[in-house]
Amino acid sequence: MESQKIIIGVAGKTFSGKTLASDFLVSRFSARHIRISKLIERLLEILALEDTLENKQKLSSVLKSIYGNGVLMHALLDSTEHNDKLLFVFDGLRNMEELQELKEHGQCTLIYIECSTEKRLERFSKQQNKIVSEKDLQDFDQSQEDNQIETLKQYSDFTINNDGTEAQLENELTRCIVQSLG
Amino acid sequence: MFVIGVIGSKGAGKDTLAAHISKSFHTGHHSHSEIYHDILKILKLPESRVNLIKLVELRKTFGENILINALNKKLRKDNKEVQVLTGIRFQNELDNIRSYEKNLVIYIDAPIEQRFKWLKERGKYNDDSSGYDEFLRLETEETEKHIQDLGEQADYIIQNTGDLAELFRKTDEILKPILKP
Repeated sequence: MESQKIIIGVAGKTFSGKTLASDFLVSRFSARHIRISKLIERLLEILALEDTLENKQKLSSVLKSIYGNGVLMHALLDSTEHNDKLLFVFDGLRNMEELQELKEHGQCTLIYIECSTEKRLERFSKQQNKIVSEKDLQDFDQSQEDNQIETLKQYSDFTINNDGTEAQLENELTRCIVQSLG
Repeated sequence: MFVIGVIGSKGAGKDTLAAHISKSFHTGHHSHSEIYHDILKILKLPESRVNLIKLVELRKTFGENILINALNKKLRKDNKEVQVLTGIRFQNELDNIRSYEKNLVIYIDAPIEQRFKWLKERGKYNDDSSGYDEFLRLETEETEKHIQDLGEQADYIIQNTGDLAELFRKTDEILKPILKP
């Protein structure tokens, strides 16, 4: 009997805690971690371009404009074919087309990680090593093209609020996985 | 690093020549389009002509030196004393080769009918008029139309008559004194 690959998509704005969530799912459920951003980083390296946010966005944009919005997902999904693992965590979905690619591929569960602006500000400040304002965060969100990320929330199978502790996040994530595998 | 550039229109024999130089003189061997092929491989997309041409869009986004910078990085990584570069299609690509202190450029030329004939033999075109029309059309494309002008800037122009032994002999005559003094 052919085992079916299970894909967990994790989406959320930067500083929502989605990477933490993805890391947990990978270690707890022995999943393969597919970092969507890693593909772009690899391409930047080949093109001898500096690994900056601006270059990542420009490259991502131009590739999507010439090959369609699902181009990155297509490449990443292809790599799951040659992998023994059954569970894959796709970390960093940014828009509907990427979700569509995943859904077309097979069973896919989308988990959306959200958290309050205050919490995000707190994490952003920690990373920047200074106090950042809400305006700074808004500008940052805009640069990340986060408006499309938010639309994924309505299509998610589970929305988890990450304003609490790490333990609370992990409990919620476990609940989602158990529910979707059940 | 000594960089040898091989310029030639489609089907003229530049890759055949580059392979010979690489084998005989133990050099590295790269083509400009290689970077595009690398990208398509990573994206798991077919390395078709259509997909390759689309990547020229990268020049508009990142500047016309994007391919050159990527290629130079590859050459540095290779760490070989002599490198052969083919697929030179634009002035800046030729200028890049000239920017290396030790460089040499060879232009391999063949009559247009001969090139079409060889490409047909390789199965690239059908044996009918539509094939030839298609070939002529591609000769006028952005990636092909400057090649002759670039060729005129080469250090050596070699005519490929189809006799490979002759072609290799002429090339060895040029390169031996330079690479194996």
